[in-house]
Amino acid sequence: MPSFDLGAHGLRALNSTLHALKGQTNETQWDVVNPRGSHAIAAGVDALVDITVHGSTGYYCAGMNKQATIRIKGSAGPGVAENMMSGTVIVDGDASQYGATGRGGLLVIKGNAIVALRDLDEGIRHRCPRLHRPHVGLHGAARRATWSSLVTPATRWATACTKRGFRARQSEKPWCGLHREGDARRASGAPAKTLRRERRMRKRSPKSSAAMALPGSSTTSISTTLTRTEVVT
Amino acid sequence: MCGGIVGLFLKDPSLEPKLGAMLADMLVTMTDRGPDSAGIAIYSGARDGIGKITVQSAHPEKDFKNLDEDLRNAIGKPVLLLEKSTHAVLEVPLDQIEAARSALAHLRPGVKIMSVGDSIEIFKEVGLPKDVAARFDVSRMKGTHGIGHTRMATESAVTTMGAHPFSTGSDQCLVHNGSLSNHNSVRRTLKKAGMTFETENDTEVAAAFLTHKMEDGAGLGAAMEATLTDLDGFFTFVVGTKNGFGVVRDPIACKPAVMAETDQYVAFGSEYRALVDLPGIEDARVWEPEPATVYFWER
Repeated sequence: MPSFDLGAHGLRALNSTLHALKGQTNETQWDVVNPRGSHAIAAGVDALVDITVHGSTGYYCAGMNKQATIRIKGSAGPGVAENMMSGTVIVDGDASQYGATGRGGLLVIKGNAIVALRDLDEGIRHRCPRLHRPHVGLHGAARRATWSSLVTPATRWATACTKRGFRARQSEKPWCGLHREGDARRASGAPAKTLRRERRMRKRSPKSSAAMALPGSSTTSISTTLTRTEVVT
Repeated sequence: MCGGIVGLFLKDPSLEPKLGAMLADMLVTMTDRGPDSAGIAIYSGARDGIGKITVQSAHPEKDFKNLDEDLRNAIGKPVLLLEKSTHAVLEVPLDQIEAARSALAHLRPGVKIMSVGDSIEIFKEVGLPKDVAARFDVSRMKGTHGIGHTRMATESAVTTMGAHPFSTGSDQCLVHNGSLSNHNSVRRTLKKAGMTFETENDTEVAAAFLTHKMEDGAGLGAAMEATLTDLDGFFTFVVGTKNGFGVVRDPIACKPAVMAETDQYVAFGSEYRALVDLPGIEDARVWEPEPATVYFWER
């Protein structure tokens, strides 16, 4: 079970060692000690390995992860598991602004997280160029604030966030995103023609699901047309 | 503007001799975030009846020569001058502070005032954080609390006066990570209210905004709450006062912030790695300040 002292050997040596683990490897269990809040720890891993980081990390830990299971025994800074393709990242502590442009895999945050859905919103917009606004469904108590953030123009989104904030709340009964999407769009004043067009597009596009949650709440689910990234807290 | 913020508020007096050393380390760690310029505000404790004016000059050999004597002759009271590279700290009787300020403008028009107060000293310059820290011998400074900043200029020039911290009131200072979008209109409003500005920098507007609110009777907490409604843009502010240290983030909170608290100190950093060398950090309570929430510690 290899143990890598990040404080002694540096980030470049760590990541190049991990990047060299392509394909089959017998060295499947890795420990990283003395992370000292470094950035980009275990970024770009593409192997079926299990990496445990003993301590808190800086930004972009486990970015672009593929296949690996990466466990952070501490908290993680912004960008943890950014653009993850597959695999699992588990943060024992808190995470800040995580999971942006996630394409697949599972991100588990056992502590708190903030401003998460803004990042996912950015990711959705980048992946859905044909849709002026992505269609998403939300479960959980935060659906009203974040729903308006995703379907209204950017200026109204900022206002909605300011008014309501991204705060932990007790979860409510999950509801079907598709029904709520229509309600919210009608409430937002979207014209009926736009709603009908979006319903036609939903019928044509394959669906997958992604799950995300806010601090202290149970799982919040978001359905998108293109991604399958699950984040559970 | 962008950059990195570090801050340290000491609860344990035994750490006060090491304040400068700890802050200098934290500041240098933030070099990647802000290589353009750096600055530090140290609250080194008040002495009875003595006030301090920190000044800066582009030509210190000319401007600081005999400055203490000239000022003493102007205000009629003893003045102590402590030179540190391009900056100098003038110690004057507290009741003569305003007279000293007016005399300075007349005696040395090229000299800029960095800070005024009982306890605060501000040192800031263009250059890498490690060079700025070495220039002013920050690692030997002592005090009760301090704030440091490394700058990556985004919307105004890289100059000494554009560096942070900004001080627009007695014993007050502010550092900022982010960018304000309505700073020009707020500056116009504050100018009409009588505030003066040295730069076109957005952070100076935020500092003046807080000072103006407090002059109008608001407490620091209320003034910091007002930034959430009156200032547009993204920001993390760290504010220093004579006895305290405050933090506020805008409601979207995309500019990073991490805090750590133990029985000995409260620390702030834009990145966790700025805090890793602090004593007892392994057992510290580490958290991220929530958006649109004012945090304040006071002795």
